[in-house]
Amino acid sequence: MEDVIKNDKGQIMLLTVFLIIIEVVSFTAILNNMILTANIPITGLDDSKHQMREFRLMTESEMQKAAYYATTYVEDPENVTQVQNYFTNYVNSYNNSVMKLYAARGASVEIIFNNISFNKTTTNLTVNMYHVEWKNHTFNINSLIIPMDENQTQIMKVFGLVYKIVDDNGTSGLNSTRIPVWNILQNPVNSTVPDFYSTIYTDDNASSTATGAVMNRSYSGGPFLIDIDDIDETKRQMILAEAANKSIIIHKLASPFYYEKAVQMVVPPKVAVYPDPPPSEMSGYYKDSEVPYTALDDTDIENGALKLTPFDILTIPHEDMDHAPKEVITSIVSWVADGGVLHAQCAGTDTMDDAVEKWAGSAEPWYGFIGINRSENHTGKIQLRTMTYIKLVDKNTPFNSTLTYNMSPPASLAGIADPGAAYSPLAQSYNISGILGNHSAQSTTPAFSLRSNGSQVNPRANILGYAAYVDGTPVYLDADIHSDHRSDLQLMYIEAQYENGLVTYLAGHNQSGRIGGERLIFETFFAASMRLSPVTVVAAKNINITIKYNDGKVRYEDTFLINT
Amino acid sequence: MIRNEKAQLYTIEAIACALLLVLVVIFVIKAAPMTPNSSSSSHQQIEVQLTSQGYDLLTVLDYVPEGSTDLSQLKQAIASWNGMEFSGQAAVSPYGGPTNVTANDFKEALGDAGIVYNLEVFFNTSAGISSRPMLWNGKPSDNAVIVSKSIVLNDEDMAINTDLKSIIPDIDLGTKFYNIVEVKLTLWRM
Repeated sequence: MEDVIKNDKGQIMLLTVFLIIIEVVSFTAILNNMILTANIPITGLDDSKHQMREFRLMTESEMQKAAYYATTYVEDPENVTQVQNYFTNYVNSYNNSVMKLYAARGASVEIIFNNISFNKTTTNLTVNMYHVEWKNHTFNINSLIIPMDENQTQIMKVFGLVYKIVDDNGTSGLNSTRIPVWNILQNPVNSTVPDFYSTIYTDDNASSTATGAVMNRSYSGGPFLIDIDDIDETKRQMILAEAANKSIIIHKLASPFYYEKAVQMVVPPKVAVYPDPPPSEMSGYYKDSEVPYTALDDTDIENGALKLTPFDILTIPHEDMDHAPKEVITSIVSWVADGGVLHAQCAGTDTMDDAVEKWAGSAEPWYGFIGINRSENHTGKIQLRTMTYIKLVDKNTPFNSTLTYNMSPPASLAGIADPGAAYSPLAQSYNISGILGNHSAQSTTPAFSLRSNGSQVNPRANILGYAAYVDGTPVYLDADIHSDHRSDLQLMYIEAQYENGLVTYLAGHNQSGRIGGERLIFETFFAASMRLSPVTVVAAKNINITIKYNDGKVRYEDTFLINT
Repeated sequence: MIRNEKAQLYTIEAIACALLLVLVVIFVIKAAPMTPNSSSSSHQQIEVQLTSQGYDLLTVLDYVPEGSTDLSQLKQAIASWNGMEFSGQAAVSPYGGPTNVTANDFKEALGDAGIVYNLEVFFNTSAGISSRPMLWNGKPSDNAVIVSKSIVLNDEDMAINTDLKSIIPDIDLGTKFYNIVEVKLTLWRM
């Protein structure tokens, strides 16, 4: 021990070894750190990649938007110059803005147009893009609102006005210029489901130069709106003058209004009525509304009038279709399959199903268009005065959530009354109970029920309204013309998609005798837009652009074609 | 002197100790931040993580299903914002709307994970680029990272929001193009 302590050389050597170890450890740590750092992604480059990607995606999206807006919002979408100017202005604004914004980040961007063409094209305005798909929309202050409830005194005439506003087939005046009309869809039953009312701050004087009573008003029944951005003062005056002629009340928005479930009509439906001449009730509906229609007879339909014109809506009141020729039925089936909207009432409902099954039954596995049975009134089973109120269905309707339909096997009503009438363009109403009045006229088909064999019912059927007593209690009854000793829920109003088209059946005879029921005939207007309506417009096509991005770290350039 | 090996030994020992101490101090300083706002080598990884988190969050909030006409949550938050800076996490008017919902999402995704963030909105004006803080939690640290997302606003997006219209101008009155805003998210760890 004494030797070791005294052996200073040994200690120095030990210390030297210790220092070498420290150096090795330090060197290893530094080397490790260098390797780690070299393997961490460089944040700056990663950021550049995000910026480039964003620039490209945003530019692509904005070119598509510019093309869409240019076609949709110009005064005359068939005018090449107007569409081209709009597109160019939009793109220039985008280009200038994006250049400034990226310059502030230290990057330069550039958009170069290599090719673009503006050609007249026939576009199919599809349901998903333009029509019955709910859209959220903000209506600016001074937009026009046409009430469809107690605030309105001429509910039926409103449909004629709306038709005229959207129509552009005239040579002068209101129906020579196409103005989109919006319908805000509400829940037509005042249950706990919201949106029966929309509280909107409005002015009851729609003139642009005067002010009336400005206040919050509750609107129900699916009011129509015309966005102020879609009209100038001249068009506004034309609308107000036409409304004044028809004694229609129009308000204007006193503050902007935003709504999430709105649909837009940009093309007026062409309406056909069968047969020719139509029954007096049908003439009455149209006389009340002043909506133009064309009556078709067997020969017209057999000669293909439905598709050749083409018509968007075919209305068949209480006509027994069992007697219609085979060619008439097959023409109707083919037209509906292509996107037509069929609205049948009274005897036109179940006899249509029978005729379709008879002449075109192999087209679909279910019975007819929807699969219904007529309920009898002749034996006194359906008491018109007490049992034929229409109760519109919403998700809080008790039977909808708890009961099953008496089919084989039993079907959940929640499955065949979903979504029911809530927010449907086919069933807007302002009756707080959701009950539309009965009527006393004798009806061939006062109600109907679904066929008891579930496989015979169109799986896309949606019950909009059922037969109810005055208090809304559902009518359950074995009332089939072919009594099957089953007690079924009696139905009044039902819809079902049939291939690309839509079929609606409404029980009862003369709807004008039913409070709130007459307007249902025209509520197919917006649904008719489900038809793929060909519209000729000028559209920006073949947009070929080069984009350049340079932020000092990364230089990027790409040329690509944008689909519109 | 030469024979005094003890002195040499003590000197080398002192140098070794000093070296050891200095290395330890340097290592600690480089490895961990001394104050919340100072930088350190450990931030390199954190910066990458934060950048990635920031972009992910903005991408998720700006997602819209293909074919949908709905606004993204982020766009709704901007379109519904009244232009006022959030005071801490307090809600802004209109209460309960998309702006507050999105602010809460930022809090849950970042704040609750110990990440501090500022959200600012940059936009074009006739005088150049202007900005306005939306969510503000203080001055960022030296190692803060910035991620951003550009959002194009159209007329219909802005029609309802008169408050914001007075702040973010419509730079094209003739078309539906309104403006582009850059949502800039600054992130750092405390």
